[in-house]
Amino acid sequence: MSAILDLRGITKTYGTRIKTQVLHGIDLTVSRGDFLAITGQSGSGKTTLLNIMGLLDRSTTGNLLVNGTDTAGMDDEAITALRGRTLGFVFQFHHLLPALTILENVMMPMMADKGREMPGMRESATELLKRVGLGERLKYKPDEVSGGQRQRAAIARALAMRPAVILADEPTGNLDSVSSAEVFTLLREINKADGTAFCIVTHDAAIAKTCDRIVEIVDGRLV
Amino acid sequence: MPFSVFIAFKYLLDEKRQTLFIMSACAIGVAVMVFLYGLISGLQRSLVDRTLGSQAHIILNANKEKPRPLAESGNDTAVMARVERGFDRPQMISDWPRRIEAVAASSGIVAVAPRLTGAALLRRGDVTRPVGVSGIEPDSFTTIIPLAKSVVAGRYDLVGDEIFVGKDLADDLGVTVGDRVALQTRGGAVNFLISAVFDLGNRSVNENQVFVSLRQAQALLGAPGDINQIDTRVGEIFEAEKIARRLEKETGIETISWMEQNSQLLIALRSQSSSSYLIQFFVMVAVALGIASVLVVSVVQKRAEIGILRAFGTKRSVVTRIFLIQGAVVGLLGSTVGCFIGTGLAMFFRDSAKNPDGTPRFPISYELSEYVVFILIATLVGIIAASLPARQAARIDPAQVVH
Repeated sequence: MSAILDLRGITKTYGTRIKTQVLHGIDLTVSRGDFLAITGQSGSGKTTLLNIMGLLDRSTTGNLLVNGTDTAGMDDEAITALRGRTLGFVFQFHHLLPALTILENVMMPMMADKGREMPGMRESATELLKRVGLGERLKYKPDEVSGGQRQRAAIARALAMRPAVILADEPTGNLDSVSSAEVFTLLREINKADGTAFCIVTHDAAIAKTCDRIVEIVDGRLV
Repeated sequence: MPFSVFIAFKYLLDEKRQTLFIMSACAIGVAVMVFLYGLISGLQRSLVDRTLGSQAHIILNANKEKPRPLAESGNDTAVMARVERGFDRPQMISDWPRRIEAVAASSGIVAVAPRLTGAALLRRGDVTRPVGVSGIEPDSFTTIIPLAKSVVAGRYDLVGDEIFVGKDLADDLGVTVGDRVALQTRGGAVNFLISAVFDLGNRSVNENQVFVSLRQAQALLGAPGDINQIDTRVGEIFEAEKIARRLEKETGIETISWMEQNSQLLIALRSQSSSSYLIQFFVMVAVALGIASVLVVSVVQKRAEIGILRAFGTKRSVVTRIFLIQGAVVGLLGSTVGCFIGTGLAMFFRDSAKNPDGTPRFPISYELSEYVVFILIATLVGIIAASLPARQAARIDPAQVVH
């Protein structure tokens, strides 16, 4: 199966005078349908790796290929467009825009891509929200729904552009155990139904165990 | 609706109190500008109107004869002479009907009238007053100076030996419409019947100027068929000096504009305008700083949200636009409200202080185009003020702010 994300010898160093190398030659591939857990202790470099995989940050050396295309020479505009169309994000905190309704939050990535609201966007976002069980909460603002519902809305937003990969950084870290289980089940269902690949950064060993693949980072190296 | 406009409006509506605060700051700033402008331009317009109420915008005068020595110095002779100005022989404008046509056709000129001026003594019984006599065609002259509107008694018509006298002169001599006065020149005395008393709002003119028909003046001043002055009115009063210089070149006749005649007044008006512009400039700087500071705080507050927008495919240019649009909307709406407040304030000021004749002590002057300019300036200031926070927002790195 061809790789959607192909990381080759990725390193990341912070600082100019005092240099701190966070990642050391990471090689990793993510293919369609993957359900991958990235585990590791705090400060091991998990989030840095996720940021590089999500085109939110650039590696110091090494190459990241997205659908076979090397992203090294791309300018910020091309990277932004590629990120918007290929990748989805779910963060520990939902990060829904408080000024927008739940529906508008889900429409946001589509509108950002096309530059305006196009016919069908509203219906598509409504379908996604129905799928995550928020069909009755379309006009609600994020602060008017529960924590679990916000995170489900964030998942619907991540799905808005039908991305090939969703990168999730501790997606259940802020939820109670019931909501956490619900959200994780939802991610799994989407993975099975659509073939969307998931890379989930988690501390939770129980969650990691249920994933198809587990990679562990120790001091910036995959083990 | 474009995505950037959509998000900009959502932010403005979401932070209602903050939006109201910066919009109010903008409205107050623009209200001060509108009020100041209305008041100062009203006062200036009133001053200019009063000045131009009794004089033509441009006067073309028959060239004065220049005195010259009887003998000139040559190669082998030297003439010692002192040239003194003697009695000015009245000079006339030759072929004046054709010249009036040419002046009327010149660009910027909206009205032209012939005039013959001279000096005389006005006699009523034993009382004599020196006056300036103007021979005019009533219909064309009133398009230059609103003499018809200034008639306070009698009728605006000059038939046969009729004469218009100023209010102050009439009071001084104790005469009124229907009375007879005599005008005495070197050629003799002629009796006139007062057909109107005028008040041009200028004491000097009201006391020293009388108007008779052009034909009567020509007979009285010994200049049959001649005139020595062409009066004109221009469309743009502040273009008068430029037009005057052009007319002088075109006609070869000496011209003088109202601006040249009232240069001190113009300097005062310009100084007043400059100080008004300076105040308006600093008010706008204060408004810009207000908008910028609130938007800078907004960018800091919304760092994570901007990071999310960026993570989900929003380009830097769109983020910039979101904040520029907010600045523009605040400027546009704030200034529109400010225009209403400023105008209301000016109207209140105008109506609260009146002259004894009922005219406002502080005349106010506005035009629709001026409001458009104020709103455009404030919108531009809003955009400029927003440019710093907008750049700050566009530079936000999603990896640094979203976790």
